[in-house]
Amino acid sequence: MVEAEIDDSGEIVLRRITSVVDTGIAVNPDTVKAQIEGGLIFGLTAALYGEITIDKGRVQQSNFHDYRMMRINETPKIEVVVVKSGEAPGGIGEAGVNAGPPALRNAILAATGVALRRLPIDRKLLAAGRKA
Amino acid sequence: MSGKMRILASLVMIAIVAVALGIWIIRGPGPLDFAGGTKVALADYRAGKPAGVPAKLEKASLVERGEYLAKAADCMVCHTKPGEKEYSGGLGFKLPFGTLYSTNITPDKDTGIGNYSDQDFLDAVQRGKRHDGARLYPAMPYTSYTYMTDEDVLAVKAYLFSLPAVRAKPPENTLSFPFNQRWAMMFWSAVFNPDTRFTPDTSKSPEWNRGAYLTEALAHCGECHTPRNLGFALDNRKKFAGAITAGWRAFNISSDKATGLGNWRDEDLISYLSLGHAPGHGSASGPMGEAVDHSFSQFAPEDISSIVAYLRSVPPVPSPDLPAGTAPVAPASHKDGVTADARGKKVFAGACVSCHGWSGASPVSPMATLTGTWAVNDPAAINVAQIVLSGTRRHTPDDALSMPAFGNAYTDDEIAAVANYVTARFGTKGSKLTAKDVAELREQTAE
Repeated sequence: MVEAEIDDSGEIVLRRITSVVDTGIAVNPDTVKAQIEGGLIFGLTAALYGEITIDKGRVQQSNFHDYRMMRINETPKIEVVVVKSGEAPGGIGEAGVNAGPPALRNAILAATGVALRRLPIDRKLLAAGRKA
Repeated sequence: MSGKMRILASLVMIAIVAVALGIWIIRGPGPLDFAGGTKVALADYRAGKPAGVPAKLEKASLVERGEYLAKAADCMVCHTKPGEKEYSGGLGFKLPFGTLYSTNITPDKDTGIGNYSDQDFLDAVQRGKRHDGARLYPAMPYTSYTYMTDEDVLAVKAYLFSLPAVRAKPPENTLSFPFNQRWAMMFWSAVFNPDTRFTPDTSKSPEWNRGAYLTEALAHCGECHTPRNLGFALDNRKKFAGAITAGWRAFNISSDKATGLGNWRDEDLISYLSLGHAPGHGSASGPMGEAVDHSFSQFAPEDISSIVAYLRSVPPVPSPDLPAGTAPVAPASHKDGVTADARGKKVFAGACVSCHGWSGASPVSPMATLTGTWAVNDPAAINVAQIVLSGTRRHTPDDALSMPAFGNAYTDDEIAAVANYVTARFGTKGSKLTAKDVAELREQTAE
C-alpha cells in the first residue's frame, strides 16, 4: 500500500509504504525485508522517472542526471511485514519491484480520480485532473 | 509662395527635423565614441598595427591568417547546427516573432557561398547585403564586422573557401509579418549600420587600438553585452552594461566596480577569456562558454591582453538590477542559512550538493564553486536555470569537471525551485522563478 500526496502541478510526494509479504518459511527474514525495500524503491523509481526516449536510433538517457533514481530524501518510511508461514519457502527476489507501481497508481486514482494507464507517470495528466 | 503654402512647407520641415532628431536620439553614439580622441585613417596610423593577425602569423599564408580571423570573429558557432558539419548553417535563433536560421557559409555553389565574389562577400559582412541583393537580418552582426578591414574580411573568405563544400540548405525562416519583409532592413541598415572601417585613436596606446579592433570589429562583444534600443540596435549609451540574449544573461563588462569588471584583476580577465574560468568569478557557460571554446581560447596571448586593456577603458555603467557586489560564502551546515524553498532544498540535496557543497565553496573543484559568481547573485536567476537545464562544460585543464544537463530529468517546477533556493542561499537576493519562466527559458535558447 502506498500513501502519496499530489500537488497542483502534479508533483508527487510519497508519504508511506506498507508491504505485507508471504514467502512461505522466511529463511532469513531480515534479507527478505531488505529485498522488498530495495525492490519497492527501484519499482517506484521506474514509475516516477523511468522514461527511456530514443532519438536517431539511440537511447538519449546516459546517466543519473537525465535518468533519475529516487533519492534518500524522496524515499518515505517503508514498513515490511513478513507473514509467519509454514509453507515451503518461495522466491522473493523481484516481488517488491512489481508491487510498487500499481500501488502508487491506485493511490493516485484515489487521490485525484485520474486513472493512469501508462508509466512513467505523466505529471501533466495529474495536474489537469486536479484542476478539473 | 502663398501664406498657406509657406505654413505647409514649414510644417513639413519641422516634421523632417523631428524625425531626423528622433533617429539621431535613438541611434545614440557609436561603439567607440566614448574614447573621444583624434581618429586617423588606418593607413596613416604608424604607432602600431590594430588590424590583421598577431606578429607570429604575419608571414603565414592567407588561408591561415583567415582562419585566425574567422575564429576571432567566432563565425563558426552561429553558422553550425550542433551535430552538423562546421559552417554549414541551420542553427535556429528563436526570436519573439519567429525563428531565424543561420546560413551555410561553406563554398558549396548551390546552398553555400561558393558563388560569392570578393565584393559580394564584403557586402555581406560589412553591409548586410546578400549575393542576390536581399538584406540580411542583424542577427548577423554586420554592424560590428563593418569595422573590419577589407583585407581581413577577404582573408576570412579565403579561409572559408579552403574548407570542404557542404551541401546543406538551412530551413526557411518562420518570421511573421512585418519582420519577414527583408527589404525593410534597408532602412534599418541605413540608420544603424555606420558602414565604416575601424579608425585608430592617436590619443590611445597601440595596445588599446588593437584591443578596440578585436573587441568591436571581430569578437563583437557588444552584440550580447550591450543593451538594445527601440530599434533593436546596440544602445552605446549603456555600452557593455549587460543584456539578455538567446535566453542567457550576458553580464556587465563595463569598468563599473560594483556590477562590472572594475574589481577584476588583469590575471582574472585573462584567465576567464583564455580558459573560461577565473578563480572566485565562476566559469563561462552558455553562449560565453562557446565564445571561449571556439574563439577566445584560440587568441594569441598579446591579443587577449589588448582586449583587457581596451575593456578597462570602457566607462562604468552600473546594472541597477544587480546587487552592489556578490554574497560571501554560505554556512557550512544545511541547517543554517536561508531555506526559503523546501522543494528547492530537496532537489539541491539530491542532485547538487555533492559537487557544490552547502557553503557554495565546492569541496570537489574550484570550477564548481558558486560563491562569487554573478549567476547566483542575479535576482532573476536566468543563468542558474539555464545551466541546470543544459549543463556546462569547460575543456581546460584536461581534468576539468563538467556539469551535466539536468533539464530532461527534472520538471520546470523543480528547476524553478532549485534556482530560487540557490540564489537565496548563495546569492544576495533570492529569485522568484516559476515553472512558466523556466519553460520560457527552455524555448529561448538557440538550437
